[in-house]
Amino acid sequence: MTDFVLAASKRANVGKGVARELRRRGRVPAVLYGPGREPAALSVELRRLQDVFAKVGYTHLLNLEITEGQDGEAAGEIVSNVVIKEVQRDPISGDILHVDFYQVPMDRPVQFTVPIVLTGVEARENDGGIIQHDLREIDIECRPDMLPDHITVDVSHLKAGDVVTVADITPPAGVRILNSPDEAVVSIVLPQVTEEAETEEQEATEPELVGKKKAEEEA
Amino acid sequence: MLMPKRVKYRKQQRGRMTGKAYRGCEVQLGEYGLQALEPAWITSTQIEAARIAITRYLKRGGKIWIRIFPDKPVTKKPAETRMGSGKGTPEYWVAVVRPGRILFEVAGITEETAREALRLAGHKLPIKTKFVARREAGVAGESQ
Repeated sequence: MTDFVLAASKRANVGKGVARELRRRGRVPAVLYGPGREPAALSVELRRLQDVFAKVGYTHLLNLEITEGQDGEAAGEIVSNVVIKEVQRDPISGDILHVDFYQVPMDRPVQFTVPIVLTGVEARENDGGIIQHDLREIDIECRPDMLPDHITVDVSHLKAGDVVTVADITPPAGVRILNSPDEAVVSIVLPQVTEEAETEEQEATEPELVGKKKAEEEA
Repeated sequence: MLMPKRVKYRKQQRGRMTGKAYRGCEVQLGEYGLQALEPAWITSTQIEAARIAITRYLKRGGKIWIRIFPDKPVTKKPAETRMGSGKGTPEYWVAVVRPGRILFEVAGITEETAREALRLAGHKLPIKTKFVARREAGVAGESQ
């Protein structure tokens, strides 16, 4: 199941200076943690991480091959059943700044967030409605070996005004959905009408003051 | 024009715009967005002008989200007034925008249409902006 292997190396030093030095050398600071495991400060190669992350996302188990030393010269342990828990990015460039790896316990259900994928978008009858994908990720609880890549929702039969809620999703076997059943997943909305008639010119009236209103009511 | 309905105080101090926007920096609601690359005060008039530019280009298609709200009052003293005698009166409202902030989002249209609509909107704003696409989990979906 865990076909993906990512090489990581332990790092003794932590802090922003060390993290910046790692990023300059094309590596990304990372941390590995999990139940019954001391958190370990690691670093991974950026290129390799990008390749693996593009394939596994947050919903695939992978193996971490952890080596000692800064560039991983000595062979080390292999940590299996690891998921990428969080990826921190720079808000402007989008570069990966830090990664959290989580070693999942295989013996009990764990909470995951998986993407919702829409199917039948092309097949849907063109009635002028726009597919509004309201909920893109869903929280589930399942055993890690039953973790689905994604949850699919078929939209081919939907008409304008229809709404699919979380209650309408049938989860795969062994998977429990944690989101509220009323939450809208996808809805077919009609396009907005162009407001050519410039919205009535409300000349900048001042907003009322919170305290002032109360004082007036009391008086 | 956008402005708060109720406020606690009529006037505010100016504040600083240092650093990047670490919140509101991902395309959340739509498919494509317009991202700020510089810090600025964006006035309610500028937001409205950009919104109209997008709406007119999209005509009857797509959906728009405005991800910023002008909740900061800016005061101004009357012309030819001597200094002193207190702070001026509130003149207009601004949204404090830091680099990285997503300003507008659109959905239900092709990338080409979204790119052009948001380009037109960007010209109504006092800052440099860039077009960004939603970043799906694990897939870098950004384009310049």
